[in-house]
Amino acid sequence: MILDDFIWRGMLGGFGVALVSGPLGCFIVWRRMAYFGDSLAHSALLGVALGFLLGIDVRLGTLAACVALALFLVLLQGQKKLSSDTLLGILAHTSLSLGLIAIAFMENIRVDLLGYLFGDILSVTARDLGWIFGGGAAALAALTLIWRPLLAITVHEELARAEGVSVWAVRLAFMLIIAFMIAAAMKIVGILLITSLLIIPAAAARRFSKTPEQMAALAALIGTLAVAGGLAASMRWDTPSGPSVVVAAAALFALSSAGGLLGGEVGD
Amino acid sequence: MAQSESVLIEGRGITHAFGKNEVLSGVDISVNPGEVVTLIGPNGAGKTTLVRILLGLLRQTAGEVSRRPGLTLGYLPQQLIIDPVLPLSVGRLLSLTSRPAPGQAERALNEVGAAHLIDQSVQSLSGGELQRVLLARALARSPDLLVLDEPIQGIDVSGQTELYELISRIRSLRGCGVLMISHDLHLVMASTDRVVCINGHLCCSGQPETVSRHPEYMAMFGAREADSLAVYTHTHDHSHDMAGHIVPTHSHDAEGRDPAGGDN
Repeated sequence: MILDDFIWRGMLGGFGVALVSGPLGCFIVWRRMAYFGDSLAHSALLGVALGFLLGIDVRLGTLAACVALALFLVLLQGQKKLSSDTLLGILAHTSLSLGLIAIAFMENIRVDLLGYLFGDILSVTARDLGWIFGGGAAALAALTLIWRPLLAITVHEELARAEGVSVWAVRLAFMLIIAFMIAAAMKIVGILLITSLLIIPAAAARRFSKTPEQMAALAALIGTLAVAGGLAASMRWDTPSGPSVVVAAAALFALSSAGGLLGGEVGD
Repeated sequence: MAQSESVLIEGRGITHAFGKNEVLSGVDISVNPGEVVTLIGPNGAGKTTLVRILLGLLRQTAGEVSRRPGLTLGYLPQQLIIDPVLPLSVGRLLSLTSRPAPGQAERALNEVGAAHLIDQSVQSLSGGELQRVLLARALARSPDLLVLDEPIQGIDVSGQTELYELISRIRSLRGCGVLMISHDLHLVMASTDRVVCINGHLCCSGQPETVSRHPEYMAMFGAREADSLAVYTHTHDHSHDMAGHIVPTHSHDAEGRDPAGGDN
């Protein structure tokens, strides 16, 4: 099998995303924010439409839409009538629908909808790689900076606040990092599948980890393996790349669960 | 008790209302360095509300909170449930909000008798072990003030007594101030310097024996309760030295203290 440039680019881009989504996904899992990640990702399509309408880079549009939704959610969570998951359900599907409608209206622009929804890893350009690695490095650096306080508010928010952690700033920074990651990863696995790249590697890493830091590093590694495996399978059997990566991640999760059952649990 | 020049934390005239329901009105409280202050009162008396206000977790409706500048605070919450999906060893928990100075983590674990737990996962600890480890976590910060919100959830009575003795011992060793909540004066009697009894308002405050004989306290907890407390206190006065420090008997100076306490 001859590996063409586009395959290497896809692979590299996938690795870049997995390296960020692993550690970030751990926090999504620890903080039980899977649905939140999903909702942010759904709003990304609205951002794509925004990008086309304003003639700016779609990733900038995506970033703007995700950040707007995150801020909107923070505001809405202040009210007590509806629970967060109901709010998320309303916002996620409304923004996705609005995005689909907006794109349908743009008659003179042909938008590869499937590519945005499910990813098109093999169309990754050099410019995309710049986004993924530049944005990814920034996201990882920011995550490292807020690591301790973010973990502290994950364990016990009031304890952290009482001991001087500024909870709002840390939470806001965390949401911005997620928005960043979604904008960068959209092309790799697609809007509808991004959350899986956050959650599945983290879940698979749990059994083999004794500290949060170990779990983050392992999740990054497992995500990378999933990208490699998924892309290899995609080329071998000509399957869609995004879903193949997700299935590869799920297979790794299943393996780790089976390993945990057979060999006893390492992380308790 | 010695007058202190630098109060660690002080609340003056703390008033708080949830909507129209006033749960605290005009409560004064302060903690000096090296002093153990226990906040008691019946359920719904506003103990937790007051502590949350002092910690800055809740904004008071009226009144003022002041802290000594640069105060380092260690907090032991009422309950800490850690999701099993988060792998967290005891050692890692100790550097949760700040990285302890070299040797402080080990020192703190030794003080609470939990050094052997350092590599264990937090989720595998028993209730008593978890409380000790959480205490060590707060201590590893080298706090000037330790705040404990009923630190005895899910621990049996002997374990509770032990924990309070431990806290009192730590205070003697480190000279830090301690503010804790308890619903039960029996248990804290021996390990506290001053008791502040509230029930929406400040009922009485002073040394434990004074408070236990205060008419408002007796009215709140019943004379029988107060009686049994007096007996308990008596027996305890004789067995107290096992904590390793000398605590004066207060019986002669306990009478006739004013409700605001003699410290400020």
